[in-house]
Amino acid sequence: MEAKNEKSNRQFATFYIGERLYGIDVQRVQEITRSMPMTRVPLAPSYVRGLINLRGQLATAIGVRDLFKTKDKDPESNMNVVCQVDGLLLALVVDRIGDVIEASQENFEFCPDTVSEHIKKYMDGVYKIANDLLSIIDIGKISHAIQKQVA
Amino acid sequence: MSLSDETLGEFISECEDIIQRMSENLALVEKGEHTMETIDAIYRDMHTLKGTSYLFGFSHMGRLAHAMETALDPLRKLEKAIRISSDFLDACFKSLDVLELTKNQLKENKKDENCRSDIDRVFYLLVERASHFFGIDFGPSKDFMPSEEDLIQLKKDLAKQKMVVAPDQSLEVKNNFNEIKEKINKNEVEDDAEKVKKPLLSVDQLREESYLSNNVNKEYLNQERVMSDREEEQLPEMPENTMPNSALSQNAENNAKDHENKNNNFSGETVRVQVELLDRLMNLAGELVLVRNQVLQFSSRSENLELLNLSQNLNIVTSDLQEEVMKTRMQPVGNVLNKFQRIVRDIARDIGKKIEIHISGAETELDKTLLEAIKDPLTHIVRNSCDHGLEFPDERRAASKSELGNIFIKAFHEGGQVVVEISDDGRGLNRDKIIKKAIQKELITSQQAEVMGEREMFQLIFLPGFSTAEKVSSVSGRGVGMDVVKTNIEKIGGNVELESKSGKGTSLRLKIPLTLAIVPAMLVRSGTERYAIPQVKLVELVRVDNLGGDSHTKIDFLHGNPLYRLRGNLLPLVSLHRALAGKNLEVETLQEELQKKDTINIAVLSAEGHFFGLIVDEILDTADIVVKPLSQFLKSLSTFSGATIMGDGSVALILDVNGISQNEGLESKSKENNSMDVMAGGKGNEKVFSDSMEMLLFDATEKGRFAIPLCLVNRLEEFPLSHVEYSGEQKVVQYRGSILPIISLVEYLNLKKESSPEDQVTNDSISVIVTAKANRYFGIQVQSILDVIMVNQQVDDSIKDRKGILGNVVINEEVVGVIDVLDIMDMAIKKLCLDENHKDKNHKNDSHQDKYKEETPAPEDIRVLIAEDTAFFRRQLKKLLTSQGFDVVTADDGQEAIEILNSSKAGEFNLLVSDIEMPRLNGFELATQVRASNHFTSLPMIAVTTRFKQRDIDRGKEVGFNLYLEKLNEQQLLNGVSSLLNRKTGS
Repeated sequence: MEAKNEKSNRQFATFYIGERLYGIDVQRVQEITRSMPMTRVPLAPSYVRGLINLRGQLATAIGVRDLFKTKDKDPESNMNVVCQVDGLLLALVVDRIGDVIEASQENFEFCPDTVSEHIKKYMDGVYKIANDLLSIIDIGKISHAIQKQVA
Repeated sequence: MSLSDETLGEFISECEDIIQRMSENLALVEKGEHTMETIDAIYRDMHTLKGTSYLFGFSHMGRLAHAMETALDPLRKLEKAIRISSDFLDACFKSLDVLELTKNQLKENKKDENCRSDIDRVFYLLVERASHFFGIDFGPSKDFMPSEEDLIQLKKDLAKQKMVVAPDQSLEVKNNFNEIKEKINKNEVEDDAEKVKKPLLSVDQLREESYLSNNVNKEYLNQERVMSDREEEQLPEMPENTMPNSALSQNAENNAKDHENKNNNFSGETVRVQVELLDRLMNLAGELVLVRNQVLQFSSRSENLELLNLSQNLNIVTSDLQEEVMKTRMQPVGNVLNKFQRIVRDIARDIGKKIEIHISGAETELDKTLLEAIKDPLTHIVRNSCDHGLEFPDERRAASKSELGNIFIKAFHEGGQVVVEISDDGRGLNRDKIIKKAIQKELITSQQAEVMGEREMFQLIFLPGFSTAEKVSSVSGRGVGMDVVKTNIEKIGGNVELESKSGKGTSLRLKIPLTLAIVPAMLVRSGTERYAIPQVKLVELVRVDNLGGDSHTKIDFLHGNPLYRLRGNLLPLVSLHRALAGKNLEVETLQEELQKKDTINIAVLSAEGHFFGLIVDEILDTADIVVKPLSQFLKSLSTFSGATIMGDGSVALILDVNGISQNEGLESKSKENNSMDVMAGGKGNEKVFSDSMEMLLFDATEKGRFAIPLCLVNRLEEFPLSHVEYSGEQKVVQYRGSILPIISLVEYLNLKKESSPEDQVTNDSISVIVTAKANRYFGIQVQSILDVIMVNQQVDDSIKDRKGILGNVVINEEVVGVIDVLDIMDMAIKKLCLDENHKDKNHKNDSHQDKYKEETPAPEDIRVLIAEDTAFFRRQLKKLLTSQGFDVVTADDGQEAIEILNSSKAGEFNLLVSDIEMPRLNGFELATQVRASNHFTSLPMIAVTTRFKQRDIDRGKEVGFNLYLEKLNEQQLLNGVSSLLNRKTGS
């Protein structure tokens, strides 16, 4: 029974950008922090919000809103979802944090075509959950995209 | 045998220790600096190795160790250390190599079986050479000998490698040795020359070189023969050959005790730790520092005394901890340097030179990662020295040097850096060869080559794709050249300096930061952010007071590009604020921005050999910063080289000085300058190369690009068109309290105007080059001023299509005309009748010249020596005086002038014309020396200079100059010359 669950269910750390709910595989998330003082990196792409001192390590803050090219502005307070990926320490700047959600594989759908290309390219797919849709972000795709864009 | 990884790991580290120690000890032996202790130490190490290898079941390795042990045993029994033949030593070194190879195999979890053929090969080599050397047979013990089929294989291998023995010898190597032994004993070796080629040679060599005098040899042979008679009982080490296991453990025990006694000082005081662990420790210590900082900040706000005390303690302990952890990463440079003993030795042997290497300062410590990073560059340099630097023995003899070439490696601390200096006493860099090669590789043109200074030329070897080795040898010249050395050293924040004297040797200095992790930096502010600039890139800080209009401190603008006059040199300026703004440039121009500021802070930075000034909002402080690399994808922003976490926990970016310079387009110029400024060593203001000069490059019209020697340029100005007034038809501008005539270059040179008058009008200002002559300023109007460029060539005066052009130079592969500014000014003076007196003088002079022609000896009999360091003025002076018919000799500075004078015949020179400001020996010193000499007390001397303060004039007179004249005033000079010569000839 448990084994079956592990196979078909995945856990996601969720967060909000505006009212939209996104999730990242919980295993890829290192930690969640409050908004931290950051140092702006001039000349970097706009989605690079700055550098954060994460207990002596440098994390690069990525504005998810800028990455997704959504038009609205960041709220005054925000949170960081810190992920270690491809040797990078990325801190995704998000509006607020949701619960850890366990989603069943049977509710999974591939990304609908109607989703904007800017967002779609970072997405794995969508889970239908109670009252909402959970968009799954692949942090690997984000890291891949930003490395490619700058280089 | 099943072994836990851990025990195997320990075994391997022990092997590494032994091999390292062996290599050092053998190097001592080679240099003949060994004592009995050294031999003992080698012997003991081999003994230990043998024991442990067998214990772990690595019988082949054990066998080789055993062979070495046995081979060295006789040496140990001698009363004092003797020299060992190079052949024998070579075999020892080869064995050591194979041991290392085997160890590496074992490390990769392979068996020593893989190295069996190698082991066998050196095994026999060792036995053979040892037999030769001692004249005894090491062969009898069965355990020494591999099986029959091994021998067949071995023999084939050996034959292939031409290492040993005539083909018709018996299969059994054992017999071979016995035979050889007998032959040696009977002194019959020579007769058998055909049969035993190689061994014979070595014996002969051995005799020739008399490492062992005959007497010692014989005496020793006798002694040895006695011993071999009573072989089994008398030699304590021998029995165990046949029964390795039982005897071994006992022996190992003895040995262990032995070892302990000898090495009491070391045992138990070191622990092997993974580097990874150290790195983690260092990171943790770093984090602790940050926590400490936060605690300190918090406690400083608190009134709780206890907390304050505790936090102070925390502060101290943390700092100490960090410092100590840092030290764990430091390793003595010797770890790398000592390997060179071996490398040099091998190379010397391979190519047939005699080379000795001297290492000092091996204990100097350097961060582990840096040590790794300099290993390859150093190896390359040392190989180069061996291969190209040092001569062959006969060559050295011919140059009356000792046959033995020396390489010196010195490591020491200097100014917070570690300096590693590698020098040799070889032939030095070959000027002609370098030039030939550089031209052949199209790195420079033959024109450039002609006028290149020596040091500048040496810099060529650092260019990519340069290698002077005539043929590719195994030692060097494989296409990786000094350029790789240079880039690798620069990559770790160091630099390379080169010096070479023909016939005396070459010396390279590598300056390396102590550690990569911690860098001294200057913190600056731009906007609200702080940035760090590595101190190594910082040349000086300049604070410009923007309020006063003092000409010396103001910032010049050329079409919006700021320039600052730093001690006479134009320094391009870059605004950090704007460099970081990228595309989001504000509407406000830099000029407007700067005008608002009371003071301007400039950090003068050195980027790959050229200089520029970085305008920052504020200069904050210096700090030692810990460099953290940026995320991979941010590295493509060449503006930053990393980031650091400041004491308050915030992050500051580290500026990449080279990157900024490239981004701001300062690079093209740097390429021109690069080769030479490297040598200038950070002080770009000194004129290092007499034949290079700076040219101001500008456009006179849309298509006409010209240059003026920068030394003739007084200032660069831009005047709004509204300021231009007319005096009659002459354009003038009110300038510094007087009226500045504006000479149009277009008119003067009769250039066709490419642009229509309408275009001219759209420019609301004019660019003017201000020059001065005879205390008068002249403005030369040009279309646009482009750049200041270092030119390493003489002005080619073969093509001059019109008056006013001095000749041509090639700048950036483009022919550029050089304007004859002096001529322009002369013309202006004449045209404008500026100076009635001057005009009179001219007339006077005309008559004077006539007189001069009548009364003085024919000009060709008059020999003039000119001492002037600036190539341009030197040529001008020479041209002027030659045109008057004088015989002119030039010297590049005072030193050269005095040398020329001292080697001249009495009365050979009739006149000395000298500049005042010159390197090595200035004009005042030159005059003093000239007057001090008996031969030249009456030699007329004229100082021609720009130093025109009364104090200087007085001093000039005092030291013996007959006349003290202003540079560029040709008429004055000619008058002076003729008056002096007339006086001399008594007219």
